[in-house]
Amino acid sequence: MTGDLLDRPLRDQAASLRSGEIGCEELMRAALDRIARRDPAIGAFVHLDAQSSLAAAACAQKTLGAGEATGPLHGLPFGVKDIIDVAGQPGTCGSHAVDPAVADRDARAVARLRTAGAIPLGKLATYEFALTGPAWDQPHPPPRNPWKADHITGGSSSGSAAAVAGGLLRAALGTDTGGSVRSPASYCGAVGLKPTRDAVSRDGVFPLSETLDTIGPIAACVADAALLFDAMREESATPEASRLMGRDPAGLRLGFARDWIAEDPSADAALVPALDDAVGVLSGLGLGIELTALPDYDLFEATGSVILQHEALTVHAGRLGKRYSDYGRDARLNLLTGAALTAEDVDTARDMASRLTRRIDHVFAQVDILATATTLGTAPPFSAFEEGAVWTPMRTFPFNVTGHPAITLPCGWSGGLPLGLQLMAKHGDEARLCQVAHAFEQATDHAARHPFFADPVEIAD
Amino acid sequence: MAEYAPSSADAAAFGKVLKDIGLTVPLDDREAALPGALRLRRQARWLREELDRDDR
Repeated sequence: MTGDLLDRPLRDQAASLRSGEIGCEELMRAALDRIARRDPAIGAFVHLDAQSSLAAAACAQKTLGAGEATGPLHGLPFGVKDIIDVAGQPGTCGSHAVDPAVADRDARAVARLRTAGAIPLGKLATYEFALTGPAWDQPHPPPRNPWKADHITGGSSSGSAAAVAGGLLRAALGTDTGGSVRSPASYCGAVGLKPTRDAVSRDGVFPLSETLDTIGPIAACVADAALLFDAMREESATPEASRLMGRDPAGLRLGFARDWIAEDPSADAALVPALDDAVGVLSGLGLGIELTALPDYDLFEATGSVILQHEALTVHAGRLGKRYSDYGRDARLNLLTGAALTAEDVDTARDMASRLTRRIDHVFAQVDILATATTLGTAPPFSAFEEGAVWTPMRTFPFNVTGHPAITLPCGWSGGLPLGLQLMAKHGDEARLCQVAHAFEQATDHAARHPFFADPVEIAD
Repeated sequence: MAEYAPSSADAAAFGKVLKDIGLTVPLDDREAALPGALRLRRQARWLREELDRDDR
């Protein structure tokens, strides 16, 4: 019974704890038991803090028993990408170039989740410094995709997506600089929310790009993602994402950026039909649909690449100088590319980013929501990466460049692996984004599919 | 954006900028990183052209 509860939305789990249906320690033990059974096949966790998590669950139970005020995530476990600080837990950033050190304080986003009652039970694998992967010259091997173990999870929030898709956790924190929340979530059939730029504090997170970095949840459903976002957001920056959830989306206007996918020969053959079906579902829900021509996708990718590679090298130049050979090969080669850029190149990219942002803002004067693909295919097999980094086409980078919020959720399947629908909204309009994403999720059965595990958790009450 | 074979002048210029920022990079890494670096540079120049066209 407790095992079943692990597969229920966080709000239901919280209600079960508050009603006394189960205890906080019992829920935590069930989560730890499931991780012990399943993670050896996935490899999502790089550090599991079982004792502290059980102690925190015992404290949470006492608080409940005493009738004290509790937050919306009281007693619920979550995981954290290993570039985000968690007090008392070690961090490696997935690199031998970092001496593992126990953080003495939480990142602000983690601290806010703790304030809401959530319990960080461990650190999750990341591609090295959130840069590139998968690679095998890092402290931990890359996690495996719960849908097909010989396929990648995507990254860089690889462990966060794998943990959620594998049912180890309902939600985990990731970071997204060019798609590192959304692309692994899409490859693993999870929900990934990249909030509006600066809606969630980056304090306590190892930086990759000052301009593009964003902290966001990967979760098993839209409601879980929204609940985490609401707890960790900076209230002054963005309203609650959950506030419109469940409201009828009929009458909203949706722009479908179909050209960004349909004309790309690298797109999976099943992708465009899956997206057409998804837009059809949204039309059936009463949204007004129009095809929207967005600026040339390559402009966004070039702009984001120049800004990211310049800022990443700025972050890493000192460490590279001292510990060059401790970096994995793909990571250091990736970083070196930024050295070719001049200050004028970077100014040019920033100028283009401003113009592209204005153009997308203009589109949002016509529509409430934009829709396109998240990635152009399913998760590739590990065998494709044996010779080093491989480009995996996606459509996530534009909304790091412009700072608009974006969410991915499953919309179809190809070869037994998930495909992702990406929705975007105006700056600060996570509520509208989650309203439409939730309505789509409720109208389809994609989120109800789970990878098969031969060891279901069965814990007697 | 199409790749092209880097010239020896490209390689020398890339080696110099790496040295200028204090990085001692083995030759095989310099050679492996160079195509990506040049591609990035061409992307930046293309953005400049697009901005100029936008302004006209």
